[in-house]
Amino acid sequence: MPSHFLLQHLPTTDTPPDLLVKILQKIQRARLRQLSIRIVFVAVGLFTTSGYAFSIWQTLLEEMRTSSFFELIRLGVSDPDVMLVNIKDFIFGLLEALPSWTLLAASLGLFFLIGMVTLAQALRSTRRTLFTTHHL
Amino acid sequence: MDHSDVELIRSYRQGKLEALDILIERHLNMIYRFLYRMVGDARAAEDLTQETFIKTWRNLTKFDSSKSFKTWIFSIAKNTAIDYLRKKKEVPFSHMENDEMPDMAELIRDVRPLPSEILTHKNLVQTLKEALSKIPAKSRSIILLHETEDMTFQDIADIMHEPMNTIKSRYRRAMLVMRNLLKNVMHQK
Repeated sequence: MPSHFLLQHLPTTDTPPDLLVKILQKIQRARLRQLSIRIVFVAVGLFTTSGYAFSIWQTLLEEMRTSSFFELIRLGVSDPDVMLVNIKDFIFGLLEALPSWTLLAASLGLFFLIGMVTLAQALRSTRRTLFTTHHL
Repeated sequence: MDHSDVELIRSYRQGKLEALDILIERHLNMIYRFLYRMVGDARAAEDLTQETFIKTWRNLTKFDSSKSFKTWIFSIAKNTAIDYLRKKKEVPFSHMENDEMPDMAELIRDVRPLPSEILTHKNLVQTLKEALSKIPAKSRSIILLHETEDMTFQDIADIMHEPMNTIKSRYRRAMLVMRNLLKNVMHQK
């Protein structure tokens, strides 16, 4: 007796009708948990950066005030011919005058803010999908 | 239009979450059927099926698109079932799992099939179930994948991450053990 014929008599059972929904819901919940954890980490990053920037705001303000970065930009815009002739010096000047701490704080803050907005959108979309799956 | 498994995975990675739903639905019945036959319990099979798909989802980003998704998901299902059986301590020790032993199956010349009366045996289903439960989990999965899921030995070798000759050897040994178990039942009739 060919074995494949015999083993076709092995017991089987119908797949539970609600199993698909259960699996999809579990995955959605796991996805929500993942997103929530990421949002928490990003929020911590945002608040830490903002908190630190706030605590040294006077230093950042002073750096912006004393920096010649914006004046160089204004010069470049008003006298482009002069700037182009001395383009190398102009670029080096800009780099030297860069208010690095202010830029760093602003970039980090912006990075975390964008991250939070993206994750919040993903979280809302996943919650909506979980709601829809629940009602299948 | 039906999309292939690889296309669905690609769509999912591009942000189309519903592609995953289609992928799961496509493979749900066969994974559940395989796990049910492996563990012999509907409730456990349901839990293990959920676990298999959760693991599949978690590792989907690591899936190599050049390989077969079916063999990959069956590999996850097989490992999940074996872990479960191991925890239940249902995996009988057997030389069948020891590849260093001489392959006794190759020495046995009697390869006559079972008598057809086996099909009229009144407790055929229960008998088959019991015989299968006595086979070690790895060999059991090879039998089920080949006989009831119509997988080739190469597919099974990919699932088990073992050479094809090892799979064939294990399969032959397992089928001989199963045949002997069934013959014993016939003699008791």
